[in-house]
Amino acid sequence: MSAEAPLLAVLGVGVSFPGARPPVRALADVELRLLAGRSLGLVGESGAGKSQLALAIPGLSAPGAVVEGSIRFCGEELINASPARLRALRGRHIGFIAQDPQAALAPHLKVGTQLTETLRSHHALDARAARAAALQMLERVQVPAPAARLGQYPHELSGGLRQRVSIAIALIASPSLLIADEPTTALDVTVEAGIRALFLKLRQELKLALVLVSHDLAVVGGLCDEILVLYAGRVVESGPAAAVLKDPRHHYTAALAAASATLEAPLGLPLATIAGSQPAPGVELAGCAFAPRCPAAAARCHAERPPLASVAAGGARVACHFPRASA
Amino acid sequence: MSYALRRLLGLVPTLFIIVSLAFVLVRLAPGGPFDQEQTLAPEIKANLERAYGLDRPLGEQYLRYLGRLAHGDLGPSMRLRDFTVNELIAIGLPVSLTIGGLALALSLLIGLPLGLGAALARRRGLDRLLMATTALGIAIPPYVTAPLLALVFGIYLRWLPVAGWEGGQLRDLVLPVVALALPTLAYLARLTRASVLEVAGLPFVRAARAKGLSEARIVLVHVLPPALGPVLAYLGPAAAGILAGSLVIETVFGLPGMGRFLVEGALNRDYTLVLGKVIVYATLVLLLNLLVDLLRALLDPRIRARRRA
Repeated sequence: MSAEAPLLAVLGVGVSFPGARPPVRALADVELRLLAGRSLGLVGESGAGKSQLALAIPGLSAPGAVVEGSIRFCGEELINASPARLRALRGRHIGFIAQDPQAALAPHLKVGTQLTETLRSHHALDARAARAAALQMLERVQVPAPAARLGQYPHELSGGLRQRVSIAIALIASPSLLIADEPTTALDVTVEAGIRALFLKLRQELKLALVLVSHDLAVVGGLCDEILVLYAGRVVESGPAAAVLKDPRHHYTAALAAASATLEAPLGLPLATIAGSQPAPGVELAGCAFAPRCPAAAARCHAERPPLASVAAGGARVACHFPRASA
Repeated sequence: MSYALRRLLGLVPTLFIIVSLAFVLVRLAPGGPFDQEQTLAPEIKANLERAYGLDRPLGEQYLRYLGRLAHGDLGPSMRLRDFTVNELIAIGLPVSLTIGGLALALSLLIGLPLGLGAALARRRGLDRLLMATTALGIAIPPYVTAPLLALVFGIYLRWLPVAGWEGGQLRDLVLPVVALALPTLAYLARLTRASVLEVAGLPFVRAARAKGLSEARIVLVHVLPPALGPVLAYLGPAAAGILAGSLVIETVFGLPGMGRFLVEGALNRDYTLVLGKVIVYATLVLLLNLLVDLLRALLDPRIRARRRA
């Protein structure tokens, strides 16, 4: 593979639910490229389509969803790939971590079973070798007393441990791409910090490519090389993380950054919020979906949807008729 | 194991309440075992009542009954005077257990796979067909299906005997067992379908799919065990329903089971016979519910954890 060939290339991807009432278009015209070993953060508020995109990549969209466009993994088209082929890729080459570790672990199966079954469904491995690999993986994700954990059930573990186990499950077959859907949202703040540190460590050790879904710009900024901001199912801004965070060009990204809770913010001031809300599911606006909430919206914004266009040499792109001036 | 023992001991007070209630209810009905169309001479009736202890105060009779019950003695039948209740139950219970047990096994063996198949074929032809037929199966009671089955397979097709029990041959068993099993089978199929569909929509099943497991492993290892919980929980009530249904079925097919003499016993105020059979039925239902509870703990580690605590 040449240095330029992306591990993951998403082009013109849309996810819709034509059977829903009203029919819902959850995602439209999404484009992204991810090189091996790099990390990408998908940011946006609830309903922006982040999770839909995360699920569509490994072919895990809910029943009734229609996925269109092109999703290429190592050059191989995944949309309309056979179920058997997708099954072979999932777990083995594409790891997935769900939002709520409590709900994502089978309550009736031991941790050891849930770890080894992933490995054994992809490799011919005897029980002892699989167990050894499971132990090693639990150590790697810094689970204390790993040998004892193998015989425990998920309900016997704390929330943070459960998420570490979920991470171990996603990584045990050494995938080259890890998709994590809000992996820290369901956790306490202190536990969350530990999991974030673990992600950083694992990325370096395993040379993992990471797609991280989060509603929190700060979380993504600390973990990701690039950021893709979604609003109402469309990409509104993308580019290198540092540039997007420091110098957001889209008014939505800027508002999102202002709404992030930081330790540096002066105490006593109310947290900034974005007035209004996203268009309801099923509502398709002719112009920019953010225009009704945008401080800089003009008549053109309501009439004509802005295309995603390059604004800087660094690869930053923004979908706005009147982008914020570069700082 | 100690948990199972504790639960078993816990059945004793429940059974005691059932026995006491049944004792009072049987006595509340007007008349007695020796009131018949041709009235007996008062002296004969008094003699009979003295012989069975019915002349004593009700409290004393109750205590005496409990005392005998503690030794497993259900007393003599008051109307079938050559038999003790124990003997009558010893004749009927194996027959009833055979057809009841077979009906329950048939319901499970066919109902569970049908429900699972319907869930996997969700909203397609097979699912719709199964849901429609099982709705019929639940709606039509055994006392309608039993004569219909006898008519079709016994009289028109002449494949199986219309009724009878010649030493419990398989051909005698088929129709009663099928008639008895149908409603339970249909309900179990629907319950299994609903439960499997519910579990299949849970996040951990999507997580299993994300691991690249085979569809067979996802269904059998991840979906089915938790989905069986509600199905198992229904087995207690299902067994009670089958017992009640077997009263009718035994009459329709002329089987010498527990149901025989029970209805006449109740009409004729055969106190000991009715009480004895009620106790046996109640014990069966209680034991089955206990067994179901223990099985559920095997399937769900969270239930085990709660019990240890």
